[in-house]
Amino acid sequence: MNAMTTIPSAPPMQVRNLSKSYGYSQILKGIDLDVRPGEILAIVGPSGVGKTTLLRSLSGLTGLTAGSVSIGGKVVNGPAPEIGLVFQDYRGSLMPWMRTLENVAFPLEGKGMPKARREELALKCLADVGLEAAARKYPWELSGGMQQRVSIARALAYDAHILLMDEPFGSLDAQTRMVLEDLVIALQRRLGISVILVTHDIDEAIYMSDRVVVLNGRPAQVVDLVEVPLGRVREQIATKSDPRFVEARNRVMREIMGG
Amino acid sequence: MFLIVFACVWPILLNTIDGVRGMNPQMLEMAQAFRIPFGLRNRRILFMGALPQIMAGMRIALAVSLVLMVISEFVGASAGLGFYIREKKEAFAMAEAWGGTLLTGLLGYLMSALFLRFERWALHWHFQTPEPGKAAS
Ligand SMILES: Nc1ncnc2c1ncn2[C@@H]1O[C@H](COP(=O)(O)OP(=O)(O)OP(=O)(O)O)[C@@H](O)[C@H]1O
Ligand SMILES: [Mg+2]
Repeated sequence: MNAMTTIPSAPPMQVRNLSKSYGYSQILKGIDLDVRPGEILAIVGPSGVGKTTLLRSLSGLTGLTAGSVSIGGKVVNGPAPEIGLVFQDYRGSLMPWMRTLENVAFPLEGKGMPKARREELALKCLADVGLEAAARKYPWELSGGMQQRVSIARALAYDAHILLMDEPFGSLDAQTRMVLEDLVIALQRRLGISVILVTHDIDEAIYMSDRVVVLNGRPAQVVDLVEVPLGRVREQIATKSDPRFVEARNRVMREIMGG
Repeated sequence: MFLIVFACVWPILLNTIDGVRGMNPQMLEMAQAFRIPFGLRNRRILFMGALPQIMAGMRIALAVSLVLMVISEFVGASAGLGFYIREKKEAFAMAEAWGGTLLTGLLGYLMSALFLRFERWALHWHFQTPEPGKAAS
């Protein structure tokens, strides 16, 4: 049994009228979002539009200029315990002086969990991402894809019900990328967590998600919210050649390129 | 004695500050996102992240302390290596005086070799990690 399976479902997340400015420049304006429990929600938009800024605001790492974020009906200020963050730069977020197992177990130490218990849990979560064998290795002994798996395992071990990922596969090769896309989909299905995925890859967004949020403009606003009509079973080749996939992709592409 | 401690504090302190400042900010954000308590964060992330610089500071402090020790014995002590060298020199026992000097050098060499061993052991992960910056693949 995984830590997550004891929780019936992820809490809903609500974003109301979120605005964010850095000094005089407004980046985000009036963002409204409802993240449904157990969905994969992708956020796409042109480079520099404010995707990372939005994700950081949702994670509580940066404050909001206006509006609110609430999880399970409670307004949150600052990092919430329900949220697990997976950074794009896994090298900078895993600690090179800790073995894989310690890296995954570290946030549990912060929760005050006893050592034996947290190592057991960390090992389970490493198994969830297929990395049991690497528990005693250091991050720098692992490939990029494996390191990103460790980051995911860490968020799972932390008992995150909502996974926030900022271009998590951006620096991986195409092959590894597809494997990890499928891994995240499988984990979502099995554990019932919600996933908010920021990506610049429109194909990836549609392939993985139940809904796609399209950001555009300056300041950025939600210009479209696309329900992806592809069901919950996804398969790299079949899904991506489905005419409905192509249609959704063209729609999003047009909205991003403004053509 | 006080002087030696005083002189050793600076390289370590300055290097520690440097190490903490040069820390990858993403690691601290990670700690924040996962709600790592302040003390635990300082011990397991800030301290460990700054350890390479702290160690470098200690290496300098080691050399400084040896030099200061011998010199201070040289001018005002009735025992120790520095005292020995001066005593033999004043007695025109040049061979012994040079021997003492040589011993000082040897001691310094041994100490730094030992320390390097210790550093390699404590920072084994550091010598394996690619430099931040040329990391992305
Ligand atoms: N800490 C900051 N201070 C000031 N301005 C910032 C800060 N962080 C981001 N910005 C600005 O906010 C805007 C949006 O940046 P953000 O990183 O959110 O974009 P993005 O959509 O994630 O882009 P990319 O696709 O390139 O990752 C940019 O114009 C950027 O210059
Ligand atoms: Mg970004």
